Amino acid sequence: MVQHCDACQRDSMVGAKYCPHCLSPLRWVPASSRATLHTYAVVHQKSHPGFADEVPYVIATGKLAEGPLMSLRLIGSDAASLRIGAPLQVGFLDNGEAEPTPVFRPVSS
Amino acid sequence: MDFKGRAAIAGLGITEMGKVFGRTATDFAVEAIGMAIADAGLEKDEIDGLLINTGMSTILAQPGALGLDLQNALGLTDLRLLNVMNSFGSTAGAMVQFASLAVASGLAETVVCVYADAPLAPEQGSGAVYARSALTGIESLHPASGIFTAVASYALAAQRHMSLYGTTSEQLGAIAVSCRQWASMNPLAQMRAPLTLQDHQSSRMIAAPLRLLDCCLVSNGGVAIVVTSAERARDLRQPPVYVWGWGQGHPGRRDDNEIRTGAVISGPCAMRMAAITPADVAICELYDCFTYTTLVTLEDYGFCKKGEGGAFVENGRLAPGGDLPTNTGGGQLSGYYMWGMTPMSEAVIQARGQGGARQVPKNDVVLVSGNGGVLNYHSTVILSPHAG
Repeated sequence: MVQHCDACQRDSMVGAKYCPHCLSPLRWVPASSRATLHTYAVVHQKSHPGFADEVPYVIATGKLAEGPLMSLRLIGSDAASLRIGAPLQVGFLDNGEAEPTPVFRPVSS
Repeated sequence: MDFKGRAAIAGLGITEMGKVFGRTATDFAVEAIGMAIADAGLEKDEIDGLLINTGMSTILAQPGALGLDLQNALGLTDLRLLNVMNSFGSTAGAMVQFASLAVASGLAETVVCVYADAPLAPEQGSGAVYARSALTGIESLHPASGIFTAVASYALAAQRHMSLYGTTSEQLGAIAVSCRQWASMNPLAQMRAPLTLQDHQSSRMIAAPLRLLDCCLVSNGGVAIVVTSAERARDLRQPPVYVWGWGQGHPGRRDDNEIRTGAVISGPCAMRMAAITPADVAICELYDCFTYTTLVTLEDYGFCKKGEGGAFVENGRLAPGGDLPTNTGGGQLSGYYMWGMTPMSEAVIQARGQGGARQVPKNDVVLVSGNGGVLNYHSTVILSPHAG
């Protein structure tokens, strides 16, 4: 999902409160799930007990096909094989009873 | 109206820094302000303006955190200017700008600007202080994705620079090594032991590409400065440090936030006012929460082209004896972390010629840079020992 402005027909980053172009209210619309890799990092530090067993893990900022940037975990690839501009797909991690978490996955070419 | 050199910094107070426990931000602020007033040779009752930069203590709602009530803690009455300001690391520069404007316009005559913080406790380390998480709503997406800390966000920024321009970890390490060389000559610096590039390269990874020695310190302490008119400053105890130029730059959300800071806006503004170019800058005091912040900021001020910061910082250019002495007190990486007051305080010391063993001989133009958030907020101040 991304946030869409009906007034000027542009999409905005997830979490925006108002359209940054015309200040109109936004509504959620389905997104393509397609993105390209904008940047990435590998977290080694155990900053939260919930992620203590996960380190090191990859985080990434992706540029969604709709335009906005979004930062999520990236799974299914190690950092060494990542290249800026590589295609990504947004998927969801199944967290059992908790809400699913959106993540980036590389798209194999 | 020409504001260059109309205001001056006349007093500086720096408390003990670092793992100093059992004292609140207000305790540090009062001490720093007392020191700054005495340094200037003023009486407390001559202060008629107070600008307060609140830090993590206020965000964390700790006891003794800073707020407007600092006026009463200081026993200051009938102030003509009072405000709490927070644009994070850019605030110190903004305080000097607003204080200078107040002095130049007659709003106030003698303004104290203060930053103090006491986020560290024996049981709470520096990483935990700056790791804040929303647990619900769309703001929880970052923590749910394992993005908790400033270092994770700066790592994303640094990696984009590396990917686009080939910047290396060793080049970032050169910045850390240079800061430590300066810090070794600064009795106020927290980290003074010698540091090699190999030490940097073997320090543990926090969030790749950033290692432990790419990250700044977190300090308890306080810094205050006194801003007054140039005329008044000349009658006071310390050599005046004239405010030649200022600017702010706040990029907002853009697709190039990782590799372009507000210095591209604030820098030219401040240099235009000061009637200088980057080639005239003798000393840089840059906000260096991470090594990468120094590198990208140097590019954005125009000391080198975008993407060439890595090559620019190699080979000791920023170090003692280098072409562009930078962060001459050790910066936030090795000196002390007082947000924007780290570069501001060292700039005052250098402009006065009071840097002792680390004093840079050519100190006629000192550029001070503040950066807040994740490269979101920026301020520039240009200082000089000369009136104009």
